[in-house]
Amino acid sequence: MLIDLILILPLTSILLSLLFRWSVVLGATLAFFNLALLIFGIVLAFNIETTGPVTAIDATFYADSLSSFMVIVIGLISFLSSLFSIRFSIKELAKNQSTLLEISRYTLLTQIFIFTMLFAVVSSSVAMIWVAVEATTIATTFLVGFRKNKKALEASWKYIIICSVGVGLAFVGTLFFYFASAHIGGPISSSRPVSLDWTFLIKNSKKLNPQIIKFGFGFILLGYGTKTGLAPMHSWLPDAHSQAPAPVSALMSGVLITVAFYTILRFKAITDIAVGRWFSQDLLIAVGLLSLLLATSLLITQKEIKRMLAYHSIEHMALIALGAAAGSEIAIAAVLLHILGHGLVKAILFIASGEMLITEGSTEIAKLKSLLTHKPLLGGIFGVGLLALLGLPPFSLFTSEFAMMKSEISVGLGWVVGISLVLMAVIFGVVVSHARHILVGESSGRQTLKTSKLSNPIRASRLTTTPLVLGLILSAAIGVVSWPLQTLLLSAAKVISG
Amino acid sequence: MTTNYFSMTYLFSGTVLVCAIIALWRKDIKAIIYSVAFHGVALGIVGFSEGLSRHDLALVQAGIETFILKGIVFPILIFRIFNRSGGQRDVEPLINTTASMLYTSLFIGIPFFSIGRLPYIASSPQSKLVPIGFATLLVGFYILITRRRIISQIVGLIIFENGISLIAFLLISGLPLLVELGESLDVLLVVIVLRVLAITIQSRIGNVDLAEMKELHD
Amino acid sequence: MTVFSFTTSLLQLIFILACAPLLNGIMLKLKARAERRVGPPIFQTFFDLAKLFKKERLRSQNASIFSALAPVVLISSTVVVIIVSPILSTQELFKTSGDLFAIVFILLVGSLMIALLGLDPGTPFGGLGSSRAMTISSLSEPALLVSIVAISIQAKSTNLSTIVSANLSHPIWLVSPPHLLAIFALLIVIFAEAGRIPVDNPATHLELTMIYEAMILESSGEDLALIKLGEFMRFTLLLLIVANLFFPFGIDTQANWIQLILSSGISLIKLTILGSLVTLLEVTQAKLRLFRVPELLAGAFVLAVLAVISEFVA
Repeated sequence: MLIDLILILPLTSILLSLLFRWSVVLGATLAFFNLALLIFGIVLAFNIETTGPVTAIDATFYADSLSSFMVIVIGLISFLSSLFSIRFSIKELAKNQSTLLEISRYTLLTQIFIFTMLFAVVSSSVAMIWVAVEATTIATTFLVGFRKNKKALEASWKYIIICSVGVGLAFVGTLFFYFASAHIGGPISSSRPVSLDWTFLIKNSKKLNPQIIKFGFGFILLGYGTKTGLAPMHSWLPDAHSQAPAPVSALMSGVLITVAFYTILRFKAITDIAVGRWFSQDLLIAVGLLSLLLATSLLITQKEIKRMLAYHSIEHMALIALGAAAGSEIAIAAVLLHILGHGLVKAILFIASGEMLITEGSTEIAKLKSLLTHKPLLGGIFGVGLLALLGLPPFSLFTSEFAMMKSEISVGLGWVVGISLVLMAVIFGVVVSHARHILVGESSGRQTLKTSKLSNPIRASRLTTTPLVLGLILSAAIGVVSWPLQTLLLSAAKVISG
Repeated sequence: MTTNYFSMTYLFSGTVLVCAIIALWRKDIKAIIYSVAFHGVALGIVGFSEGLSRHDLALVQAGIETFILKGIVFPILIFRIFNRSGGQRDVEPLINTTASMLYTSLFIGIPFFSIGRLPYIASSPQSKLVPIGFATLLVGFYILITRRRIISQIVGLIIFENGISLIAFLLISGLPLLVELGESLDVLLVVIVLRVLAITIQSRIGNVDLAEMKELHD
Repeated sequence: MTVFSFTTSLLQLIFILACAPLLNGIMLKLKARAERRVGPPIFQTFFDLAKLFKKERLRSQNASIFSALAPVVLISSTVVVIIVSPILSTQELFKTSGDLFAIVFILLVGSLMIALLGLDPGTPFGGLGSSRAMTISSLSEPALLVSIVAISIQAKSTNLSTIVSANLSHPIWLVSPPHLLAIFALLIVIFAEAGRIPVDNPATHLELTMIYEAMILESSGEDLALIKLGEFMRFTLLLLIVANLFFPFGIDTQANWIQLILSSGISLIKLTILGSLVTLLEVTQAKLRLFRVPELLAGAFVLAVLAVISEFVA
C-alpha cells in the first residue's frame, strides 16, 4: 500500500504539471508533494523494520530497507530541489529568459525524472530497473539542454549518447543474469517472470553459473557505472551537471548517480554469492581508483563552480565504489550513509551555486570574489557546504568516509586507502584555494569599484537559504548522532552484504 | 521445421551484421540509412522466426514490433533529419575506412573467442549465434565514436541497440513482453529525443560537425 | 594420371586458349553495343594477337632478362594452373594437384613477374603501375586466402577438385551464407587481380588512372602478344573457377567422355553469361578512385572473415 502511495504521489505531480501551467501555487504544491514523499519514505522504512520487505501490485514492486533508504534520499533531495525550483522559475520568468511554456515543460520533466528514479528503486525486477534508468536519461536530456545554447546542446547530446550506450551495456549485463537464471530453471517468458526478480536471483545465486555472472557483472559495472559517473565513461557528467539548471544539477548529482550505483550494489550482492567477493572487489577497486585519479587531475584545472562540483561528484562516486569494494556490512552501511550525505551536501552546493548565478550573475570562479563580505549568508552556506563536502567533522561525510576507510583497511586494502588519501589531500588543497578566492578573495581597488557597482541589489532569497541552512544542520546532525538512521543503514547493508 | 526456422534465424542474423558493416563501410548517407533500414528489417525477421520456432507469441510480437520500429520508423525519422540538413552527403570518418574494416574483422573475431566460449552458450544453435550480436554492437559503437556527424551518430546508436536486441532474441528467446515493450519504448524515445535535439542543434547552431562542438572539452 | 585426365587437361588448355580471346571479343562487342556503337567483330582479338605476334619486338636498352622472362613466366604459370584445375572435369592430372593455395601462389608468380616487367625498363609509368599493382595485391591476397579458407571448410579440403565434387553432392552448401559471402569476397578480389573495373580500367591509357596498362606500356611485338594472351587466359580461368565454385553443375565427375564434351559446351555458356555480367558492371559502374580501392578490398577481407566465422557457427 505504501509503495503504491509512493508511486502515486509523483504520478499526481506529473498529472498536475501536465494539466496546469506553472505558477507559484503549483510549484509549492509540488514541493509539498515531494516533502510528503520523504515522509512516506520514512514511514516505509519503519514499516519494513517491523514487518519485513513489502510488495505491491502482484510483486511487480518490492521494497526492502535498502529501497526505503533510497526513497528517503530521493524524497529529501527532491524536496530541496523543488523548493529552489520555485525561486528559479520566478527569476527565469522575471528576467524573460524563459517563457512560461518552457518553465512548465521544465517542471513536468523534473517530476517525470523524480518518478523514474522512484520507479527504479522500488522495482522488483532487474529488467524494470533497467527500463527506469534508461527513462531517467530520456527525461533529463532536455533538462540538461534547457538553455538551448551551444554549450547546453552539446552537453545534452553528449549526455544522451554516452548514457544510452552505457545503459545499453547494462542491458547486456542484465541479459546475462537472466540467461544464467533461466538456466537454473527460473521460469521464462511468462507474463511476469520470476527469474528476473531480485529476490529470486539472491535466493538462487549460489546456483548461477559463475562465468556467465562474471561477464554479466562486468557489463553491469561498465553500464551503470557510466550513469554513476565512474570511469571510463564519465565524461558526460561534468558537462551535463554544469549545463543543467541548478535544481536539476542538484537532483542529478544528489540522487540520479547514486540510484545507478544502488543498482550496481544489488547486482554486486548476487555476484558476490555466485562468484565470490574478490571478483567484484577487484573490479570496483580498479574502477574506483581510476575515477578518483581522473577526478583529481581534472578538478585542478576547473574554472567554474558547477563544473568543479561535478568533478567532485565523480570523486565521491569513486570513494563509494572503493567503500563498496570492501564489502563488509559496516562498509556498505557507510557507503549508504555517504550516498545520503553526499546527496544532501551536493544538492545544497548546487542550489547555492544556482542562487549565486541569480544574485551574482556568474558561477565562474574568477568572477566571484569576497562573497562572504557582501553576501554573508549565501557565502557562509557555500563555504560550510564545501567544508562538509571535503569531509570535515562534524558533517556526515566525515563519518562515512572514516567508516569506509576503516573497513577497507580491515579487509586488507590499506594501499587503496593510502592512494585515496593522497588524492583527496590534493583535492582538498585545490578546493580550499578556490573557496578562499570565492569567499574572501582580496579584490584590487579597481575591481572593488566594479563589484560594488555590479553588486546588484538582488538579495539571496530566504526561500533558498533557510532550507539550505537546515540541510547543513541536518547533515551535521547525521554526522554526530546517527540514531535513528543506524538501524536502517545496518539493515539496508544486510541486504547487500548478506 | 525447426531446422528451417533456424536457417532463417542464421541467415538473417548474418544479414544484421553485414548491414551494420555496410553502414560502416559506405560514406554516402543515403546508402547508410538504407542499410540501417534493411538491418532493422532483418532483425525483426530474426525475432519473428525465433518466435515461431519456439512457439513463443511474445517473441513473435517483439519481432513484428522490431520490424516496424527499426525497419520502418527509425529510417524515416533519420531521413527527415537528413532532408532537413540537406547537402551533407559524405561523411569523413576520423579513422579511414580501410583501417576500420580491419578493426571490424577484429570485432567479429573477438566475441567468438570470448563470449562464444562461455558455458551454456554453445549448448543451443541459437545461442551460438550470440557473438554475432556482440559484433554488431561493437560495429555500432565504433561508428558512434569515429563519426562526427549527427546522423551517423544516431545511426551508430541504433546499430548498437539493434546488436543488443539481437543478443536478447538469440540468448534467451527474448524477454518477457512487458520488458520487451519497455525496452523498445525506451529506444524509440531515445531516437525521438535525439531527433528533436538534432533539429534544435541544426536550427540554433547551423549544420555543424559535432567535432566542432568541443567547448566543454577538458 | 590416366588417359582421361591427361586428355582433360589438354582439352582444358585448348578450350581456354580458344575461348580466352573469344571471350574478350564478345565482351568488347557487348560493351560497344551497350554504348550504342557497332564495335569490333567478336573475333577481332584473335586478329590483334596475330598482328602483334608478327610485329617487331622492341625492348628498352635498360631492359634486363626480366623483360624477356616475364611474358613467358606469365603464360607458363597460367598454363600450369589451367592443366591442374578442375575446369571441365574433376578428374585430376596428379593426385591433389589442384590445391587452391598452390593455384593462388602459382598465379601470383605471374603477377609478380609483370610487376617486375613494369620496373625493368626504368620508365616512370612502369614503376608507377608496378607499385600500384603491388599495393592492391598486398590487400587482395589476404582477402583471397581467407576466402579460400572459408570455401574449403565445408568440404574439409583445400583441393579445388574435392571442393567442387563435395559441393556437387551437397547443393545446399552452395547457397549457405558463408559460401555466398566467400564467393562475393572472391569476386571482388578477382576483379582486383584481373585489373577490371571497378579497380582498374583495362581500356584506359590515361596516366593518372592506369595500373595494369602502365606496367606493360613498354612491351611490344611478341612480348605484348604473350602478355595479352596470358592476361585473357587468366581472366577466363578465374571466371571458370568461380563459376565452378558457385555453380558446378555440368562439370564431369565420373570420367565420362560424353560428359566431358558436354561440359565444354556448358562451360562456354557459363563463361558467356559471366562475361556479359562483367561487361554490364563495367558499363554501368565507374572506376573507383585509387584511394578507395583499399576500402573495397578491406571490405572483401571482412566478408571473407565473416564467412570463415559463420562456418564455425553453423
